[in-house]
Amino acid sequence: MWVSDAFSAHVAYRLRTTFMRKRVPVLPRMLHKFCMRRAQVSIGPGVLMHPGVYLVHGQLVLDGLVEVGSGAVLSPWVTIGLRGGNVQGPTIGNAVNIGTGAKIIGPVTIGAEALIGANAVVTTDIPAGVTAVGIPAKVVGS
Amino acid sequence: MATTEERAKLKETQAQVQARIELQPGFFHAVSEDTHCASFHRGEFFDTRSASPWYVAYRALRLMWVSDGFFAQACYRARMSMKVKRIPVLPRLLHKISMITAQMSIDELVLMHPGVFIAHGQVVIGGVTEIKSGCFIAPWVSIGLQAGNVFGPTIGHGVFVGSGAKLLGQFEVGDDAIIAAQAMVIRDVPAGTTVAGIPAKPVGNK
Repeated sequence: MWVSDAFSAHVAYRLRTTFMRKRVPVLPRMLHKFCMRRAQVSIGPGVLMHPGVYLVHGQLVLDGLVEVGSGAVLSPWVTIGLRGGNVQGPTIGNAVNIGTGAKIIGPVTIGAEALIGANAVVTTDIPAGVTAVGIPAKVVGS
Repeated sequence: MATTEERAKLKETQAQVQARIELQPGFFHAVSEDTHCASFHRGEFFDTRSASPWYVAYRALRLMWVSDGFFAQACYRARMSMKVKRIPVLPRLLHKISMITAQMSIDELVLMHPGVFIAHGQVVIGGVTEIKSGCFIAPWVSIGLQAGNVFGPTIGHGVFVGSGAKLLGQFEVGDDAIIAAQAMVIRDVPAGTTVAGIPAKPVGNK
């Protein structure tokens, strides 16, 4: 928590979701603001992050009905979000590695242990264990 | 020491900047329009347009509490209306607040019409840029300049700017266009088209 801003923001986020589950008022919102100031981590209330996710430096936006599996690595400048008019967001499998600046948008599924390249824009399903890069993201290998 | 001509030129530039700032909308008008736009884009199914001003004020305060982007935008609106009245120091502090709360860095020369929705913040907007009402701006967007030109883009009504898009240089984006995520726009975008890629190319109509 001392050496990594993202980790302290992550801990604050976990505390926030615990408070939200217990329906504590006000405090979750304060913790969210702490996350924003500490490492620019903006995670919406509809996101389900399984235990054991690594946020590398922060600078993340996650919103909508999103699920992130355990062992996922989220690099900076990543957006995991929605397409207009649909609140269902992506489902990210276990141990997925998401590169810097990648954007994952819409109701897509990313298989376990996939690798999303830096600056990729993912708008379609990605199978498990492959590498996907580009705008829009294409599978380039496994 | 600056020469007389240089001082005259500086004064002229300052007058141009102030003339540009005078175009800014009033605070209450801008925030209420932003509230309508944000409620619409957030899918909050209230028709705030037909509601009483008190209800709109309540919605605005609620949005400031739940959305960092909206709070920072309201700070920006307050900042610009103070700039119009030539209040010193306070606008700069409000700018710092919007940077700290949602990393929203908007230049003074930017003319943002009332009724723009900035989803999460993390936006940089610079230069002589115009953003018309009904626009949606996703996180990690840069709207700004190309080297050597202080004029930025003019963005039409109801444009959707996707996450991580960059709009750099002097051009126009037509009404209801969609800029896809991570697109790099450097040329005109016709109304109603969707553009994507680096550099951005049309990929279809809405």
